[in-house]
Amino acid sequence: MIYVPYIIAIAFSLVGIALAGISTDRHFVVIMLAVELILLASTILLVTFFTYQKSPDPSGIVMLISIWTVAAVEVITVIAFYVYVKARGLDFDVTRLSKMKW
Amino acid sequence: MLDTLAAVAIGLFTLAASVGIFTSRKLIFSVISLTFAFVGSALIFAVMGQIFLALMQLFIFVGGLSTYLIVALAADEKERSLESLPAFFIMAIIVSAALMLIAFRYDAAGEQLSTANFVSVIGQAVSTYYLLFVMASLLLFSAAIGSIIILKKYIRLIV
Repeated sequence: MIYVPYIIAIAFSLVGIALAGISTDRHFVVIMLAVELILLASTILLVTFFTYQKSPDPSGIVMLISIWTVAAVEVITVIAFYVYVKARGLDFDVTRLSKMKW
Repeated sequence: MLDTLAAVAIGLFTLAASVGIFTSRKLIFSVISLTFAFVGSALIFAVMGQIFLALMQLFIFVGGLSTYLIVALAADEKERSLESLPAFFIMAIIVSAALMLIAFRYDAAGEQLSTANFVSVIGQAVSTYYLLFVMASLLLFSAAIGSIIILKKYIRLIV
């Protein structure tokens, strides 16, 4: 059996790295990749607590699939935003993206 | 013991890959680093005995999302500046260390489920919360249609 706190520490470190990336990087796509990393950490935590529990709970699976869906939707949104910004010749720097117009 | 060592080694690999997202000059290398982080998480699931989940993770994240991101961002030639890298490292170390203190306070007390149990739990989840699965698929569908509608007039400009 795996010593669970190690896995939790890895997931928490992933969150820490992602938070540091979000707060120091200004590139929009990189920030969204950091959010993806947070979702990844949450799946690791979820699967860890799901695996090492006394009675299996189906709501954990529901939560996992919800996280996967949000991650997939986020990737679709990132690509759409990337193509939009590229086509309009805008900057990916979030501090310069003051307005968006369809 | 060997399981724990393997999990820690794979975890360190995942952490290194996730650091690579923020230290790469080109966007495509950031996405490739994220792909390695996804592979690492799938390997962690496999070490924990959740082979089915590991395969799902590989199919959805590596086979689907990462390929989609790599294909979309491969043409990006711009290099971004890494002037905030020292701040990133300092902040990552401080935040991770603070969170790790919480992680090691957790007392592991539980028993591992077998894969067969897991599959039966999936069956229970699908039959009990089937509406949520429908909603998840609708959310994905609406996101895809929405992005097509928004980008309809810009697609010709960049192709």
